Amino acid sequence: MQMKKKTHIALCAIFILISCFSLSGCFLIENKIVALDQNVEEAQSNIATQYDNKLRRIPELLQVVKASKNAEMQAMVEVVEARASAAGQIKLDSSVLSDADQMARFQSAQAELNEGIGRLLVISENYPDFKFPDQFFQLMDEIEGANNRITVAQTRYNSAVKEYNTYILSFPGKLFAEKAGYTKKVPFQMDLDVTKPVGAMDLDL
Amino acid sequence: MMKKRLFLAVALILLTFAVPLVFATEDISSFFYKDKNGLYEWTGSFVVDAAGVLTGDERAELKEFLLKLNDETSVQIAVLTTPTTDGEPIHDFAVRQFEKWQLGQKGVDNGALLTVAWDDRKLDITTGDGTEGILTDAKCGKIIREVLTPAFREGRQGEGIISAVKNMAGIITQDESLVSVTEEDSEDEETDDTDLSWEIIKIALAIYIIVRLIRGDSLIPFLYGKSSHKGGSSRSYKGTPHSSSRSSSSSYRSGGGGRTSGGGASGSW
Repeated sequence: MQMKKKTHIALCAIFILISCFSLSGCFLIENKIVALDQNVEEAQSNIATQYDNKLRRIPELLQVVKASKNAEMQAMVEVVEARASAAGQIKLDSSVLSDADQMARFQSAQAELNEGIGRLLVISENYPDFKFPDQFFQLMDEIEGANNRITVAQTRYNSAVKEYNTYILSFPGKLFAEKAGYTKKVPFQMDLDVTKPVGAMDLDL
Repeated sequence: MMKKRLFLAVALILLTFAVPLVFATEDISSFFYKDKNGLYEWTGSFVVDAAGVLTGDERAELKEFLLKLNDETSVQIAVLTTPTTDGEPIHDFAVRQFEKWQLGQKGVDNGALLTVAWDDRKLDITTGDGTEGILTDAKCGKIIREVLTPAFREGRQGEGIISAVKNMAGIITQDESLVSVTEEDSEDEETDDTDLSWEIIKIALAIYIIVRLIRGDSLIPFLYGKSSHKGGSSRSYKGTPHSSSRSSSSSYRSGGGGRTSGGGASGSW
């Protein structure tokens, strides 16, 4: 009898211990999901900032182009202007990122804008004797820099997404992610390079 | 028979020792190991000339300059020449290399990397998070266009690289004496105004100096008798004697930085 009571107490203790562990485990898993989600959000806002940085420089670039007195380049102003405003219309947020159609539209708008900017650069190279103002190349450097930062930010975003997806789709995380409404995130698939020659640019995205 | 075997064994052992000896006679940094991601291992030198585009003297001068820069300011600039990036855009390659080498001090990330892909004819400057604010993309682009590209086109790549590195160092440490590219900000609409006021300042200064010279005064009245050297944040590297205490093959740890958001610029020649 005495013996039975002892085992009873021991069983209770073990049960309490296990529930304590699993409860704290739950919190740990939840915290981890939140942290991974935050990582993705942060990476995402970094990308958005760099896209904004790029768009902000376009009007200034077009001003310089208008003043350049190069007819071939001036003919591109309206094209680039239209593409910039098209690209500016889609703001990169979570709803766009998780929607494949929206994402495709966003990416093709950005690619077209890049193609336009790239063409300006090619034109400037076709006229080695034509004196383009320093500011033109400076703005081009800044736009290229923004594109480079976008590439880096997207790579980081993708690794954050990968880590997040792996966690919410595999065992302990999966149990909570579904209940708490954490869904799979879509990685970026894009190659931006304004310095690429126009011919090499992939236009049919 | 026994003797012959013993002789063979001794000869073999000697040979195994001799092989590294033969190689050791060359500069150790002329060996370049790549990791599985196609990046160069850190050899403890700020100059990795894997494409062999620099002369021995140029390499030594660069190493000396970059070690001094690291010692005095903790800014870490590295130069890497590689035959090719195997189709990868040079800036992406350079960013990965920058992160691997962890250039700049930990938490400050005051590093920069100049990359040359010789056979691809591509150039790149990558800046760390701590340098991109001052060595801006536009300034990197300017160095590439005005210093590197012309030099590479004329076959003076060593000169070009040294000059570019000095410009980078000068801009980061705000040491005007090293900077040869013209300074120009993107928001200088009133260039004529600033030029005019600069002229006035120069004339005024000239008059001031002439007047003081005629009167036989010291040119800097306030500092007369005091040390004119004030401890500033930037230091001058030009004109200071080369330290012979450190040989060019001494190895250095990278600073533990290496964070970059991809700043810099690329170009080709």
